[in-house]
Amino acid sequence: MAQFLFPLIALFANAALTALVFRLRLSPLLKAVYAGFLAGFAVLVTLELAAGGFSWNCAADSIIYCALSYCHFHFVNLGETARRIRLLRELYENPAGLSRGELLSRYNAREIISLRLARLEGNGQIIMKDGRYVSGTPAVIAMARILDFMKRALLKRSTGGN
Amino acid sequence: MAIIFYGTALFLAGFALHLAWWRISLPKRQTKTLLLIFFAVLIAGCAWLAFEPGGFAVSGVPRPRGAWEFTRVALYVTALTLAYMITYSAVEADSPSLLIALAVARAGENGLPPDEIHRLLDDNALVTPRLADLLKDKMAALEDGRYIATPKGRLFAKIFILHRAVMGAGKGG
Repeated sequence: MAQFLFPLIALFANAALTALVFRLRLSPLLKAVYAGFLAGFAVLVTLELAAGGFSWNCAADSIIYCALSYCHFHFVNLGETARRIRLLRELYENPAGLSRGELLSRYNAREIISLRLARLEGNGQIIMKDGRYVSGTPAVIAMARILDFMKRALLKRSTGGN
Repeated sequence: MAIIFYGTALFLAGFALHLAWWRISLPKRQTKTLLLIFFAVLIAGCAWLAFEPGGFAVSGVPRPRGAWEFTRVALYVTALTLAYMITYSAVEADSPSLLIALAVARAGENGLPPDEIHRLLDDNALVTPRLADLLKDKMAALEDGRYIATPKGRLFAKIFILHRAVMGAGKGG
């Protein structure tokens, strides 16, 4: 039967609620994504219960839902922070194209860094002390080290280096 | 049980093949190659499970049966593959936020002033590689010194513009 659609329906609920919560400015983006994930999971559990209760297939559906929600989180994040998407957007808005100089006047390293310093400081991941940034909460460092490990293992180079 | 067991086995088989391939040589189009590997393993694995006449089963775990169970195995492997590919894209490119966090962590208790961070991460470090990626992935073309979005690039841009509009969000970046 079409029970395989349950994780997809839950994902749709997740995406819809995330968009709604953020659009109505009920919470910041990250919290909207968390709220969407929980709502989608509640939809999945409800559907599984209505279809006859829990089984190994429910566990499989939960894993599928979590993996797809992870993809959704990154999709939202790409729109928010990805440089490639922002550059593409500038080119899309200028069908005649842009020279490198024109692109850099619209989007450049100074803007990229300023936006991220504000986000990192806002999340407590870095702290300003006497005009200098020092490390704050360790989560982002842990993430950076995991990605650095993967980069060394897969691509044989380190973050920001060769 | 069959979906989790055989789905995970097929994903891990694809992952092992990807590791072996990457050890030998890095493909030019890494994302495309990853997709090819994982979906080739999925199709070959499902075909073998469906048509192998010997009644193969591991440790008493029955094979998936019928179109619905195979559809769920395919969805399971596809979801894990997409999740891995998204993580891989973060490994491939250096995230500015992580570069900043690492630079600040390496500076220790002395910390780093904002000007030093701006000096470390300039346009050549943050923008030029992403422009090169757009050209490599055929999302943009360079014509007479001007970057122009290709139809593929315009489609990608449209998807994100639409999503951001639904969310009521700004340009991002």
